[in-house]
Amino acid sequence: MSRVTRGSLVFLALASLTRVAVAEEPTAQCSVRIIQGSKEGQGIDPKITRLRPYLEKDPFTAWKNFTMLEQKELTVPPNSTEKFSLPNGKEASLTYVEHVLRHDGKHRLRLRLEVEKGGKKQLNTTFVLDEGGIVLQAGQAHHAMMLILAFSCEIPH
Amino acid sequence: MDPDERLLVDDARRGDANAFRELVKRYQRRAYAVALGMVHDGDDARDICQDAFLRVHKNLVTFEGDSQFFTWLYRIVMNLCIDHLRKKRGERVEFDDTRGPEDSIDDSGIAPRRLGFDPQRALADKELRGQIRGALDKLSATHRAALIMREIDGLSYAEMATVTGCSVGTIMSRLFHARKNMQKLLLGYKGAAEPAA
Amino acid sequence: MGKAEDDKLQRYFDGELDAEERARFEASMTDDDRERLAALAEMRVLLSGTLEAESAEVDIWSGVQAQLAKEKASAPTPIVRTPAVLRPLRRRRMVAGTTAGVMFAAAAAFLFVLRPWHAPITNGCDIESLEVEGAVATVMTQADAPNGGDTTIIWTTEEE
Repeated sequence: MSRVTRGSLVFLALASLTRVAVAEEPTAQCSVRIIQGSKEGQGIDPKITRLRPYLEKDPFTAWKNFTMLEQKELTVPPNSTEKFSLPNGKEASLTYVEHVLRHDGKHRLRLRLEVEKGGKKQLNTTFVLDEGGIVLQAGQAHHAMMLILAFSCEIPH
Repeated sequence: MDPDERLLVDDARRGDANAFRELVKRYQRRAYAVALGMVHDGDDARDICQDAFLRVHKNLVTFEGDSQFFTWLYRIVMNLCIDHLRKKRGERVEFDDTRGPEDSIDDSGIAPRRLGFDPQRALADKELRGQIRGALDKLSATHRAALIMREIDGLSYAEMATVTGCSVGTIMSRLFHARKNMQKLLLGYKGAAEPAA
Repeated sequence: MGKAEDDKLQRYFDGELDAEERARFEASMTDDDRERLAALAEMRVLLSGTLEAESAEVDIWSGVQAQLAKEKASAPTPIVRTPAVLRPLRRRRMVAGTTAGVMFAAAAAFLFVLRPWHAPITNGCDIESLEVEGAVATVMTQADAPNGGDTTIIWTTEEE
């Protein structure tokens, strides 16, 4: 066998090993945008232009002015929880329960969102979300306005 | 970078023509709005945007994805606008100015006075839109750029500082003066339009 | 109004204050501050609305596509000439190089096939459990997401 042919086969073998080595449960990168909705004023903060298609439709049509208060970038390993504070004094947490690979190859994440007020759990929900997709949690009061939390997560693969 | 943007950029970088087309179609309006705000003329703005996207196509392999794609595109559009203004209008474009030629000694801030335009009516009124663009054109290039970066593209102060290569303090100062002067100009137009009491 | 107050107002308007600074500013806001904020918001809507309206129908892609096609059509084809005295040696090396090239291409094709296909991103979300206390929760579905399909909204309202 020539040196060239042997080298090519070694390359192929190493490449295959590399692919096997990355098949562990990956860490999720999650983005949480905390948005304030107000019935006073008009407009959507340019920072959340990409959410305009959602905020211009029901059930948000009663609110006219949307401002992004904060954007949190969470790195969540599998079976781990990241906590973050909300502007209305509540505490929220996002748990990355597991990575789900659907039969058609679509990557999804099983996540748990909890919101607590004064140490008491107010909301506890588990959902499976498409990778890169958006889910919204809305309705929490903030002064005379409303909070909207926009979640999106992705995993390297 | 948003996940779908990252996928598009990766695919475009690998030579996927459809992905590159999607990137152009996704950002062409914003890029054009920036260029139009800076150079005023629609045809010039279109040429600048075309040139910017061609440069993106050529240099996509060097884009490392450590910043938002639009911030990178934005920098290219802005630089082309500055070059254009220098060549065509002989305009001095100094990015370390904090005051433009239209500034006076008046150090008052934003007036607690709305213009009173009904936004829906205003945006449907071509003449009024022309006045707004006219007011924008009267600002210095540095003030115009600050206003466009913040109001059209929603860049944070830190992002604006990165794009222009100056400090956040300078950005805040330019933004402040741009808004103050814009308000003065628009109030002036409104005063001219309203009949005398 | 002094420079510090101007700065604070502007940073508040642009969402650049942290939660604590924002709460402090809101607690001490005067009527004049509210009017200034309203004036800034009005200018923002007019300015962004104007430039967006003027950009609504713009088509940059056609010009870019035409220019790229032009550049591709005019790209020269490289011509390689091999001096006659070197040809026999090059032929032997070419065979070995071609074999290696084919093997590398096969490896790359193998990896390419295994590379995950990037499916379009959708907002598919299945709520598996939902518990609330001291509040009422409703799960809503918003149709026609920009990327196709529906978007899930978990709406909570605190009980009085």
